[in-house]
Amino acid sequence: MNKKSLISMSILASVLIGGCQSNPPAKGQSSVSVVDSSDRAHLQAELTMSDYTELAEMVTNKMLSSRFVSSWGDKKPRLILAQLLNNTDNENIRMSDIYDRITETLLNSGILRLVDKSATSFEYVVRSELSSNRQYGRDGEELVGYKLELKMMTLDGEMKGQWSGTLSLAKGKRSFL
Amino acid sequence: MVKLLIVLSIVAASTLFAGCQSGAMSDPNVRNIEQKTIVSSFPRARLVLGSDALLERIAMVDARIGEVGQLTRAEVSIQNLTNTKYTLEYMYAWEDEQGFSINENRVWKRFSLGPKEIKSFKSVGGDPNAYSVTMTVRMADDVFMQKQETK
Repeated sequence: MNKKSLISMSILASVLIGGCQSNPPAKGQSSVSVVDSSDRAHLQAELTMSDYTELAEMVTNKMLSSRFVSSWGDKKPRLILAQLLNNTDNENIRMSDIYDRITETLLNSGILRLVDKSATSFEYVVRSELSSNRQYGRDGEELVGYKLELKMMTLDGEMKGQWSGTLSLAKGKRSFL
Repeated sequence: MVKLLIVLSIVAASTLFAGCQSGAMSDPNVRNIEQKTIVSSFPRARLVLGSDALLERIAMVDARIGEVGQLTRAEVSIQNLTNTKYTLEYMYAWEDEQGFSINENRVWKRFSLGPKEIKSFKSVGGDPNAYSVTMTVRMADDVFMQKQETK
């Protein structure tokens, strides 16, 4: 009887081990996954690529749909987009990504011609600035507001339009655990 | 009696014809399987509610499409029919006249809607070829966010 139970136990053990071997644990399996780039996930109260896209498109489209720009019709004036100023408390914001989003939106609209800063013949200059303000709570709460602003000037320095858009990020209480 | 029958048949035929005409008004560019969460009754606009749980709670009451210079713009009004505050997200997706997508850099935009509140959200089809639009509204959601109750 003991022999029989030993044999049956060894068979059961070998089957179990075999089972384990046929389904090995996924070694090196990463905890990183690809997420939808349209999602607005944040780990910190800082801007993400999705935020750059939203802010840049929101403000640029405001400009493109303004009465002044609509009055251009088929003229396609030449425009310089000046360097985007970072007036926030964070020097790590990738201003070039926001700048590129703005130029992409402007070019896709097909209603103007973008020229380089070194160009000598142009009708308008668009100056842009990103600014922020930040508030902290007692328990680690954080509230950050970002504002992107575009200002369009003529060669004579006359301001023809100003458009802005804001984005607010809030961070909750720090957990005790 | 025969005259009456003829008149009646003419009236019936004209009614049917009028019905066909109003049916032809629906836009062939707006394509989807018919369901309660999708409203395709507005010309060139399709409104999608991202969850059955939002039915009869959040209503997409009006959609307007117009020209602004060489571009097309759309505005949709959303109403909260309940006494609860909702945190939601919306996304606009533009298509050209043939139904091809325009501007793939789309992001969800978060907003909150207080009890009984109505808000309007505007979008500009950033391309002169933009023709029709789909606006989707869903519960706010992302990979780090605790899932909201949807049922």
